[in-house]
Amino acid sequence: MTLDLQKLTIAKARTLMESGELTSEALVAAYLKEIETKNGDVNAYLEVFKDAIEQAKASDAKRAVVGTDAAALQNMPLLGIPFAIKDNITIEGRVASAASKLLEHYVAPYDATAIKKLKAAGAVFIGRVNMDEFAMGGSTENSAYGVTKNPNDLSRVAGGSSGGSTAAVAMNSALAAIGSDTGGSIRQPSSYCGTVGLKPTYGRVSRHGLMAMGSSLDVIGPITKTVEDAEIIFNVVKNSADDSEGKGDRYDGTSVGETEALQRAATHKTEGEGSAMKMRIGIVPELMNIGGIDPAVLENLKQSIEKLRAAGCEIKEISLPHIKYSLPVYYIIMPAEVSSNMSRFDGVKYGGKVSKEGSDLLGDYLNTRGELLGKEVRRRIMLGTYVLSSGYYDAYYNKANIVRELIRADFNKAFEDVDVILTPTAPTPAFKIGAHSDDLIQMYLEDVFTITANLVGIPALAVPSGAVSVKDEAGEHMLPLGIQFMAPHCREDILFEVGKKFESIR
Amino acid sequence: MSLSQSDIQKLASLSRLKLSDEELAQFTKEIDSILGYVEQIKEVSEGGGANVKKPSDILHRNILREDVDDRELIASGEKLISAAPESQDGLVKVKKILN
Repeated sequence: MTLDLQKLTIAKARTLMESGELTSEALVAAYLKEIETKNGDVNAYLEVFKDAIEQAKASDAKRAVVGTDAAALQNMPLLGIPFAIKDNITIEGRVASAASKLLEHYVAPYDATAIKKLKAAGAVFIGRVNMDEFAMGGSTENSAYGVTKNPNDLSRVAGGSSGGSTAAVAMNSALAAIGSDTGGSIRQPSSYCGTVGLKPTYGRVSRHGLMAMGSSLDVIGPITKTVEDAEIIFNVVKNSADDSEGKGDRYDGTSVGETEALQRAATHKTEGEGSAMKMRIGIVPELMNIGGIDPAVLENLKQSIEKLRAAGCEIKEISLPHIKYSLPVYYIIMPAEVSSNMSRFDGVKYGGKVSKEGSDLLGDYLNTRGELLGKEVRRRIMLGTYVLSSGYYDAYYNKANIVRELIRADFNKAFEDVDVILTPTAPTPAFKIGAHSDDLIQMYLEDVFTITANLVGIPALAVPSGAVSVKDEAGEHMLPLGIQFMAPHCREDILFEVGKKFESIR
Repeated sequence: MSLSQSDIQKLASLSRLKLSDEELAQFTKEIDSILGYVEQIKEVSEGGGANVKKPSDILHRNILREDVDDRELIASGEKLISAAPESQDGLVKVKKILN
């Protein structure tokens, strides 16, 4: 049979594997061929695992043993499904470098909880993919191993920080990918590359084994072709009723277990359930006046709203008075947490070869961190150190936490009237490589719509919503656009419903 | 805001980061501009602050691990040591810190 990798989904691959028309080995071989052709240009993969085919064969052997045993198959919903894994998530015995020189040769000593769950579900890992160093950036231009280019237009960025993950899926070199999202790092590159990206509720997927960046913001999530696929993966990696008796992951300091998630979910009432849900969608006019939004993005949002309205959704204008402070609040809280988290990378516990050894221990610290950490990482460490310093703590860090609570209160109030809030995912289509390198604030503004969900801790889903044709010196290209839905805490189910509905009408 | 290069040098040494002269000039300019941008939160009134600091909306909680031998974690001890740049006899090796 001929495989259409562009249209293949987890759901379809599963059916084909169950009927014996497709093997994991054949699928992985097809992806390896795509990688061989495209990765030289795109630079999505930092490493293709040499044993990918072996893993696939093992999963095919497992399938032969399991046969049509429905219960066994239900326990392995990802049997033979090939994944690309972001380079900041640990897989035991494999290098995880966070796209940094400092961890170039670091071999992970344990599996991240999410990886453990994917393995148990039968997933196959093709390789580890590029990102901004330690997930700090929005374009993968901060990778120590070169930028990941957008498969839709090689003169443009794939977005970031999970740019390798979204590019891997978009260039048809993996059926799905795992990323991490601290301020939009799953959703913004999904918008640029044309993939579906889910940022789950904070704490709902364990952070154990995810290299910490902003610990009150970080979350692991899936990147896929369809909303249904994102749902399948989310249901595998989330904390289940079996994790500490429903309390969550005991290796994660801030965990939302199944029990608490169900309780919280019940506090938001919807009209109707499942696909019969009568969706109330909030739109935020004041957010459209912040400036810097590409006209194509605004037009696409308008059309998306009309399609949803025509499909029976109720569209309501809502107000989120403090949302305009999200970006400044984020650029205080995130660096503060970064400066604390990055202190472990000292050249003693972790580190690599530097050109000059220090004369003493302090010298080793300075040289390791000065030489092996990139500019954006060092910038954020210093910024965080500044906002946490005793003279400025109240004015910056404390104040930011207060405003964060005000933003959270705005959202809680809004969700009394609506089930989801709709925004564009990013203010522009994918930008040119190097376009923002002289203007950090412009670069940061690319995350203006995504950052809030991390500050508030709510789940958010990025869905492709069309494309815009752009003609420049690199030729004419169709650049993907995306919209984002945000839902109340622990209501990923609403996101999946509205996301699937939108996919069927876009 | 107006940060000087000596402010940034101090931050760098507190953060254990070595900077070149060129980087020092660049970071001074950039960090100054970011601080200028984030300062806009100062204009937010804390009028509604009364109900702000309540942790009522905190959803997640700490899960405490049972206080028992955890073979899973112990087994990775050796691997943790071997991840360090230099080790000897199962210990991480560092430079002398006392003279």
